[in-house]
Amino acid sequence: MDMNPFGVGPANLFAQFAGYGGGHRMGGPPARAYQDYFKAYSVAMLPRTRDNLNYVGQIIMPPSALANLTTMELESPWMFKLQNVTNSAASTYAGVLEFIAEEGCVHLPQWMMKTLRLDEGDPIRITGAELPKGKMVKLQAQSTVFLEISDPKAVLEQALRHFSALTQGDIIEISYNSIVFGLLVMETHPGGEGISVLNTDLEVDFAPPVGYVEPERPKAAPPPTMASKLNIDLNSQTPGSSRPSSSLGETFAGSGTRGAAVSKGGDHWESFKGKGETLSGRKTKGKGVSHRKVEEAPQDSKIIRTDKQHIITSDDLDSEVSVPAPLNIPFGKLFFGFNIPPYVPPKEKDVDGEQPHIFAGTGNLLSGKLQSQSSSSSTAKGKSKETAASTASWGSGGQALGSRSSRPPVLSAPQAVGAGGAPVPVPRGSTAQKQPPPESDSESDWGVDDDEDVVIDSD
Amino acid sequence: MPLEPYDTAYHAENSIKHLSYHAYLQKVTPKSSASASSTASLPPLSQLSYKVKVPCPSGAHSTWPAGICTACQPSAITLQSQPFRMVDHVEIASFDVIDRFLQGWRKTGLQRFGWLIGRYEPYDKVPMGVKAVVEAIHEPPQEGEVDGLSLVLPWEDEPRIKALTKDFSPPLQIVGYVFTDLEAIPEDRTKSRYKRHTQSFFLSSLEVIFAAHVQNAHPILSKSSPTGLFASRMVTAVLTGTVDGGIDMSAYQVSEQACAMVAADMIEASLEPGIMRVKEEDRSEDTARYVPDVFFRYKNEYGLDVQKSAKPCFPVEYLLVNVTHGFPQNPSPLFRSTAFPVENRFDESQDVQSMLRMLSDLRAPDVQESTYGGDPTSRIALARWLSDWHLISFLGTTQLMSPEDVQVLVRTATSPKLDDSTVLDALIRTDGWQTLMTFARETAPARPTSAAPSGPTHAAMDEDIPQDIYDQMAREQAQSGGGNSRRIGDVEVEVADN
Repeated sequence: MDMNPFGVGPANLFAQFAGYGGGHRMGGPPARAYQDYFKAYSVAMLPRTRDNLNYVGQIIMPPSALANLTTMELESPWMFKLQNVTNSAASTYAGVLEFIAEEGCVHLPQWMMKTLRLDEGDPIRITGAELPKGKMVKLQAQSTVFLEISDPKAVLEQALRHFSALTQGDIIEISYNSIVFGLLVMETHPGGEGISVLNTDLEVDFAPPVGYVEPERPKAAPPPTMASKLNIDLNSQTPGSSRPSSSLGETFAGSGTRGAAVSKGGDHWESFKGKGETLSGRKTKGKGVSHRKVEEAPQDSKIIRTDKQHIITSDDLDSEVSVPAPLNIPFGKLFFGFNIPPYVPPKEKDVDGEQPHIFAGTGNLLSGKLQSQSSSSSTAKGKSKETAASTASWGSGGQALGSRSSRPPVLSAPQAVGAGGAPVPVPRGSTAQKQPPPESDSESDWGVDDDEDVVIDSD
Repeated sequence: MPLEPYDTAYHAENSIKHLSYHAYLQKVTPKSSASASSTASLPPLSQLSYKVKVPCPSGAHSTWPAGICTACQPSAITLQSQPFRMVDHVEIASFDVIDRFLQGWRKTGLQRFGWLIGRYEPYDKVPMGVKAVVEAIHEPPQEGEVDGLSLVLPWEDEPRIKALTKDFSPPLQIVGYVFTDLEAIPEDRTKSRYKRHTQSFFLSSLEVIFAAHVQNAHPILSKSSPTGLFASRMVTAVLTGTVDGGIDMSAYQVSEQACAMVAADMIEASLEPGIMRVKEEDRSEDTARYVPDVFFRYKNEYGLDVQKSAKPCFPVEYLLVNVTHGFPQNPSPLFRSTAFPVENRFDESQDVQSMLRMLSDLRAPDVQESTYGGDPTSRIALARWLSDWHLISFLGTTQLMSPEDVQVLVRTATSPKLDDSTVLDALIRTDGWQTLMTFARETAPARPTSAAPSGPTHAAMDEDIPQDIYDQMAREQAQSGGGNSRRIGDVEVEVADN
């Protein structure tokens, strides 16, 4: 059913043309009716070239085109869709500036040549076009130099006067103060192909230019505190004793670790590298001395390390307490900026007083009978059963020495060392059984140095 | 049978940690007054002193620091919690007092210090108790920081303030000092960090030493002490954050032992706030210092009561005395106005011009004696406005009123019934007040509220200067605080100089 917006009568004539798209046109052929092929040249090829022609959105056509267009009575303003013949995807929209070109040639601004990927003399197809009026366009400057312009909107206004149309995806070039700025048309509203920018109120939005880095805001300097003004070092400490010799003792005993690299003959040759095998057959790879450092004794322990100097005085033996340094501030000054541990509210006590469920889970007697171990709060009888069970429950998942499987029963250092160093199984009530590491992981697993606790499965 | 005022069971029941001073005095005073034993007439209290006695009582050797003997050296000290306290309770007369003090912190984020001004009254919750009622907080010159403050010492205004407080009826005095230790939590800037708690410290060692100095400087007169002086009633109050982020006050005193140790220069503050360091002995000529053995007792991990040497450091809690604090149920503060800016504040300033302007705003010059009638509301408003410690203290510095007139003002401002129409009469009759009023009248920019703008102090240029120009002029003048010509637009207005 034909749309007949013009009513009956003479409008019927126009109804025929309605199919050509656009109903506001009152006369003349549709813009698309004009089509022609030319050879595209840049404006530099003009006999009297003017550089400013490079920074417009309009082309220069031959006078024959003018004759054609007037004969066709095409609607002004004349907008054209320019297409690269060989690469029809490359297209843009433009208006026409002058008709002084040679016949068969059109001259395009440099950026248009680039957009259409045309070389000098390439064929170009020009079709008339009708473009909607543009409402909004989003531009992105291609260099941060654009930011130096004091009034970008005014500059653009000026420049866009020489543009009839803007196509999304084009990089147009404008000139200002003899600097060339490239602007990428990121978005156009109404979207689609191109928009007409003649006689329109175009809203311009700027995206940050290419290469724009958000300037680092200088952090506000922290307000000067009394600590900084009076040079109060909140962490300094003095030796516990007043004897001068003991101060030496403190500094030496408290010094940091030296590198644990043991060098032989001056080289950084480290021992304990290379392959090895544990008694159980697991292949290990030594990581060298430097990988595993000597375990540091805590500050106040009595362990004496031979690689550090250790001066002992009688006062040290008495008290190795380190005393906080004095705060010598004259009377009249008060200081509040101490290092204070944050308040930890006392833990809520469980109302029922649940006891941790140790010894929960099943177990086995040595004789093989399955024993269910109840929780620790059971009766004494149950407890005695438990204790019997717990000590005896090696579980069925143990391994004989020498067989290759899950983790060898490596001593877990601090815990549970029985007499003579024999490992004592620590029953872990309901721990999940640890899977034997897959073969592929064993590469990274080498190292007898692993201090991981071994779980002796106590099912 | 009636309980003794120092009955320990009663105190334990009501969780009163320390005996009040008078109860303690009763306890140590030997009761047997019938027998004329010599001990009964001796003053029972004694001021502690840990200094070396110079010259030595035995006289057998050269004086300290050259020589020392057991007769002149101070004996060993065992730190213990003081059984009594001089002030049992601190009562702030009204919330406004503290609120105004806190404004100083709120506006700048810097810590503030103020001297508490009030009086002592009996406190009934504790047997023979004494409470300090704080009426005003006077802020001396100071420099606050985010994490500390420095007082400008010596406080030059001190004698004047002390004399001024005595003029009041009942006479006021400095009863202590308060300072803020507030730090806003970064996550929620309306809350303050909970800094002082059982796991950290209550009063840092530095503050204890400060308190001891202050207490040493303000002993009380006492008949029961051979020297006539004993201890001190100065209270240390801290405004600090609570568990929930609010602000609360805690009050302390330091024990006599602390004061004596500070007097003997034996202790010093440490960077760890809960620890007090003991200084080392020094026998050089100028800074001779003898430090006797100091011990403190505590329960070790086995629950045994052990004694440990306090050198080189010991916990501060042994030197602290708790003082309760509170606000009255029905506040009836002495000073009822909070309008006048507080002294020595960074962002507020007290100056004569603004005061005169405030007076003229209140139509003070128009308030006459009650016999001449006049507007009762403005009279009451003026009376209320005058009831402000900071104003009274400021007037003293301006020398616009003679000391006698200030006394009249004091009496007026602190009279209990400010609504009474006769309350201002005595004040109005004083010369000082009349002088003030004259100045106030001249300062007023004669706004054309009722009359035409042709006042004696105002030279208008044109008849038809619009109203808003006048308002603008008034504002401009208020900003500059009076003075000479003003150029507003093209109109040059001349205002009489004071």
